[in-house]
Amino acid sequence: MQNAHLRLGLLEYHRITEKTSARIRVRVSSYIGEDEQAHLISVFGSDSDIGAITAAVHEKAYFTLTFPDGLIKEVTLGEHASCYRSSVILPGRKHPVRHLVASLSSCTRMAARTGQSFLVTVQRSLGVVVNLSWPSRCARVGKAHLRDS
Amino acid sequence: MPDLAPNACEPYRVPPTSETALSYHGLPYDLLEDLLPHSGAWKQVMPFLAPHEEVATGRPITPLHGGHVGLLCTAGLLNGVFGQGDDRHIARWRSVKHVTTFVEHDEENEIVHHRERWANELRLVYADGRTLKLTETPIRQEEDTDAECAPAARAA
Repeated sequence: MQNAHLRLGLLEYHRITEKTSARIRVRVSSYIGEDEQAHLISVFGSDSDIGAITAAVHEKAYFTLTFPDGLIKEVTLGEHASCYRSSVILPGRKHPVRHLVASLSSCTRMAARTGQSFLVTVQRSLGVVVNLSWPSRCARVGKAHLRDS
Repeated sequence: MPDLAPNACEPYRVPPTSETALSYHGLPYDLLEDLLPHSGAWKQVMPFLAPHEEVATGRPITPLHGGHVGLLCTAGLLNGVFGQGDDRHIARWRSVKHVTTFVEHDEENEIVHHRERWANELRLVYADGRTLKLTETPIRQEEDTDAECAPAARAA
């Protein structure tokens, strides 16, 4: 598909210490959350950026999430977050792009405990997508599909 | 300071240059958007986020009676998206454990009883935002007295 930049979000992490100040910005391909509680974030970027975001997730840090429509929200994964990383090799590029999917440890099991339901449609060939046409607590940046059955 | 007259100096004409091409050296988002769903990270998350469910497909050997359809529904084999237009909805069955607690007073002692039973419920989410929860237990009574939980195997 074309014009992917119009469907991608932006995740920003600002860390200030006594001597240094770092600002890391990565692109967001998928997001599921409720208010300030993020349930799943899929981001990609350079190796150092993804490493920093991974460390921030484990530190329960807050991130500034910018949606494609310009909406800005402070989100965090909180405790019990799991990070899954991989590399995406691009033709003609020396270094692969790093991909990170951070989610609450088995948010499906959490949904069962709290009685919450997440409307997530899955297309096996394209990965996980959340349909925007269904009113839900889920938010999604990127492609949207609905599986018929 | 006097104003500058229009013809005070000769205008500078920008010299023509050869054609140039603009190049983008950032990440190719279009290509990445197509490649990311196949990444190893998604493959690791998929079993947790969307566990594989058994769905009944194919043509049955004999026509199904109403009881057969009911059994398939309560077993969770007919979950999915159904209907058209405003009636388009997501249907999901699940088994819910109801725990009823009552206290029995025996002279000086107080005995707390927990009675457990399993029931089936159907949750519907319509395209226009309506939601329905169909269960055998009246909602008000259930909220007052019962606590519910679902087994991990039925987690959505």
